[in-house]
Amino acid sequence: MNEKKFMEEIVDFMEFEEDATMESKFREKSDNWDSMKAFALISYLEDEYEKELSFDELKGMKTFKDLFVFANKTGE
Amino acid sequence: MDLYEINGVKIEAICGCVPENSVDNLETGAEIFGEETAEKIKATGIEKRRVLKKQSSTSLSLCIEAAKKIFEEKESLREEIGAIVFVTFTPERILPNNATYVQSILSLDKHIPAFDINLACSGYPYGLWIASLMAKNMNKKILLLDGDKQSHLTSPKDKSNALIFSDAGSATIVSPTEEETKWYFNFETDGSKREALTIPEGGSENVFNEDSLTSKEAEDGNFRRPLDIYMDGLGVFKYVVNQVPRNIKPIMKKLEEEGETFDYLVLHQANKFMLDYVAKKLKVKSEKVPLSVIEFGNSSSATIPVTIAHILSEEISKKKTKVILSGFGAGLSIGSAYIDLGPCISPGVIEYHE
Repeated sequence: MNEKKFMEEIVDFMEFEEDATMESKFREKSDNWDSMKAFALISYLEDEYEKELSFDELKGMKTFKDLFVFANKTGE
Repeated sequence: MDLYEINGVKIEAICGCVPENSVDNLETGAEIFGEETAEKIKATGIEKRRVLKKQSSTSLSLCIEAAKKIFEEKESLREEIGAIVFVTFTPERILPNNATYVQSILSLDKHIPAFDINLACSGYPYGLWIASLMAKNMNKKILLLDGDKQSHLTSPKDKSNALIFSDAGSATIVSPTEEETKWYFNFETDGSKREALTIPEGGSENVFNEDSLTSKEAEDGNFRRPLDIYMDGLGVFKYVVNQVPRNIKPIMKKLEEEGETFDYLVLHQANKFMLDYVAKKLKVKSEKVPLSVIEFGNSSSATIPVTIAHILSEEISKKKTKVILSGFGAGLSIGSAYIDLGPCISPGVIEYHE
C-alpha cells in the first residue's frame, strides 16, 4: 500500500478535507470530529486493513502518517 | 447463514402518515446544545422532526389514518383483509394490543386473527416476513400496520436522542399473487446488547413507581426519566456499522448469483451519518439510498415504509421497483429483506391533523 493510494481512499471514504496531506492532523481535516467519526475511522481501518485499533490507541495518533504506519504494520 | 425465501406475494398498497406538527431542531436544540446546535444537527443530518402534540394521539392514530387513506383509494380492499399485524413497541395500551382495536375502528371482518409484534427499529422487515407467510398460508390479504409514538418517551434534556426521535405510522397491504415474485429475508439478533437501547422502567421487571416520572441526571450526564428511552449512541453505532453491512451482504450476493439487481437500498432512518456509512461500506451509491430522516426524524420501525411512501411513491405507483430493506436497533436486532413492489396503490405520506 503506497501513501498516495492510502490517502485517496481514506479521504474519500471518511470525507476528510481534500487538501489533507500525510502530515495533516486528521481530526482537523474533518467537519465536526466526534466519537461517532472516531469509531467510523476505527471500523474503516479494521475492514480495509484487517487491523484492530482501540479508542485509546487512536487517541495517541495525530496525523494521517500515524494512521498509515498503523495500517501497514506487519507481524503482530 | 440462511436466507429465507418467499414466493408469490406482493405489496398491494403502502401509505405513510406523519404528524402535521414539525419541530425545528435548530430551535429546540439550543436549550441543550447552545451554540453547538448547528454542528450537532450537521453530524446527524436531522433538521426537523414530526412529533404528535396531544396525549390522545398515538401510534394507533397514525397507522389508522394511513390505512383509511388506502381504503379511500380502493374501498373493496376493506372486506378482503384476512388478518391484522401491528408492529409497535408503543401500543396505545399495555392491554389489549393495538391490532385488535384496529378491527373495530376500521370495521374489518370479525373472523380474523389480529396481533401486535413488539419490535423497534428492526420491525418492518419482520412485519413483512410474518405478513407474507400469513398471506401464503391463508391465501388472503394481510393488513400490516407499523408505527410508534416516541415523543412522550424522549427526554428533551438527553443529548443522545432529543434531536433524533420522532413519531410516524404506516399501513401496508401484503397480498398473495399468481405473479412470480421472489422475496428474501435475513435476520440477526444479539440479546446481550439489550442495555444499549432500552426503556428501563414501566415493564414487569422494574414496575412503574412514584419515581418513574422524575427526571434525574444519569451516569452519562444526561437528564431523563426512568420511563424515557435510553440510548448508548456509540454502542448502537458500533453494532450497526459492523453488523448491518454483514446482514445485507448475503442478500446482495444472492441477487448477484441470480443475475438480479436492485433499484434502491432503503435503510432504517437512524441518522444520516450512519446511513451514509453503511451505504459506503456496501459500495452502494448515495442516489440509491433514499433519505427522509432529514425532514421527518427517526421514528423507529416506521421509517422504512415512510421513506418508501415519501420518496418512491410515484415510481412504485407506476412500475415494478426492486428494493433492499434493512431495519436495525433495540434488541439489538436487525432485519433485512429484498422485495419488489409496484405498480401498487401508493398515496405517499399523509399528514395527521390533531
